[in-house]
Amino acid sequence: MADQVLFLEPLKTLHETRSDEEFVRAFVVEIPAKLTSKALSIVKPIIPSGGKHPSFSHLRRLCTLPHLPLDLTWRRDYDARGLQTIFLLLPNTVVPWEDIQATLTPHIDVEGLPRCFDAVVPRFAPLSAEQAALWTERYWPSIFNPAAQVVQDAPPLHQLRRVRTALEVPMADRYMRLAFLAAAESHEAGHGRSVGAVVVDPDTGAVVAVAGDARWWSEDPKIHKSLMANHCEGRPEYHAVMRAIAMVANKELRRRIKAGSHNRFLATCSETPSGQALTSIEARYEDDDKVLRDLTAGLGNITLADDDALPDKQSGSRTEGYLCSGLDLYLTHEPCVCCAMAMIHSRFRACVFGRKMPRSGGLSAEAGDKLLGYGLFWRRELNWRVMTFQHTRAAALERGERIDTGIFHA
Amino acid sequence: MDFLQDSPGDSSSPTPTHKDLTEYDYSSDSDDMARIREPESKIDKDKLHPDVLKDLEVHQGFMRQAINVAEEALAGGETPVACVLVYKGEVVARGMNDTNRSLNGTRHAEFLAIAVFLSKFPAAKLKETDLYVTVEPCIMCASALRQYGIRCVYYGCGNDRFGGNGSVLAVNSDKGLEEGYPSYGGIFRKEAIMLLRRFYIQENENAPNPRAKGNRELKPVV
Repeated sequence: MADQVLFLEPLKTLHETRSDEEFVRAFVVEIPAKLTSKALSIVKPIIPSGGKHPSFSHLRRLCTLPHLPLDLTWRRDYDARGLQTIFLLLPNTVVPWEDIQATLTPHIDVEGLPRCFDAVVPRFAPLSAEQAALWTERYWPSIFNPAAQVVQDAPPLHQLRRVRTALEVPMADRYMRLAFLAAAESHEAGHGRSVGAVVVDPDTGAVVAVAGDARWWSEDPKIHKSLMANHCEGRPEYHAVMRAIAMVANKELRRRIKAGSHNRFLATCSETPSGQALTSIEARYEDDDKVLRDLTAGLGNITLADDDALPDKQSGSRTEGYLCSGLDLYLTHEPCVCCAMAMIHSRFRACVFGRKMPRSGGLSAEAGDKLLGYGLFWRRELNWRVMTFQHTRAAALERGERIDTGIFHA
Repeated sequence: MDFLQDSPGDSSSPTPTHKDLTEYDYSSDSDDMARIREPESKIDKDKLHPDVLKDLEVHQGFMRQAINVAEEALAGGETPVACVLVYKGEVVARGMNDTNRSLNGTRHAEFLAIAVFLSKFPAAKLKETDLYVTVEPCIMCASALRQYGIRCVYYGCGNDRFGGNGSVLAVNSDKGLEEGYPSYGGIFRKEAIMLLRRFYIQENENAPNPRAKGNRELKPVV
């Protein structure tokens, strides 16, 4: 498939959107060129490293005048009078210039040296060779080292490529279509907003769970009314993602009870209420032996197009049943902060969503006036990370389902 | 109650999942990010906000009830995190963590308590309701509580791994679609941590790679 159209755009991680924005102060120290090989070992003992101290491993420690960025050259209001000098970069954090000067001076017998001027350099390593080249010109000679890429900051490129290639197949469109159908059915039934979620087992390509938003739904008409009245926000744990996660859990719970392996909690456990199927398309992907309420009659007012051959349902059980590990999530909308964190808690492998949700989406990392910028899918502080892509042609997959385009928590 | 212990604090988390092995080795952290906030000093963690100190006994009374529910959770083999909802000066709903029993990592105490609340009161009354929870709400719950419009949250210990009320993110007070909510920590912090320690010293049989913890000892000092 040489001319395959790319339609999954990897979301930029928090680190990737911020590496351009975080800088630290540094000293540029001018010393005689003959100290080139010794300079670093002289100052090393007094410069702390590791922990919270910025690592300068992405920056060259020494550079010559021709390599000094123009901006710094201008700041150097000093005439070397033909003396060969070189420039040493040191962090300007806890060690004051006086200490550095006192350490270097005994090794230098040239009047006026060492001299120092201030610089500002990128705090974190560049993410590409292009970025490194730009920084070299602008701030300080920088090094791009793909092997030093830290997994906490961004998905390793080879893994990202592998997953993207595996996901960027026609099936992705069918899963998205299914999410749209679930969204539309939920909305038609008045359960919630037109938002849908589909959980897929990438090993088999089969669908494990389908859920539409049901934030206003309740068996109790009184509760339903109170939810509608409450800003129309309803219940976040009935958002599509939360319900899809609940469905996966309920399936696994039923499987374990049947297999006799949940004995410790047999008397006290119960299914997650939000995980019960409420529409026909949700019921279609429930367990075979689950007694269905009257949902199997048909797809309501939603009409399936000819090419809407629905993806297969997961039958039997997955081998790996710990939360949602190993599973992928397909969403019509970028999930809210609550659902985005639920996705992390549940340990999904990958996530594909259609519509970005400014002001409420928890996955996008871009900062801005109307953006939260949390980037929850891949954050250093959290204990799980989910490769996340935007399905860039998702809108073209809508067929009159009137996907909710407002500003709200999806 | 002695709130000014001088021994080191502990990290805690409301889900049973965080200590398990992951696909990648995320722990090989070569360069600690400076933006991650420095751990609060021990004194800060135990210092109660003046607004809480004004009615300390009332807050402790409600938190005591949450702690009691967490004890129940622990006795039942569930992660000992629990909460109560207080409306018009009365506890009207309780909830405890349900993640192990339901196999659903999102079944945190807050959602169970809110379900009870909604069976009794209209959703809009949550705007006049306070939450007392033994552990700082995680990012997920912090967002849910904000969407529900909770009036105020009081918690026991902070949550350095997932905390959404300031420890990792401040979902309760950052910009957002709706009003944020105030949040106060430290009420029976020590008790909340001890509950979690008593739980995590056990083995997590649900984890993909359960760890043997037979020789671990419970550290009694917080």
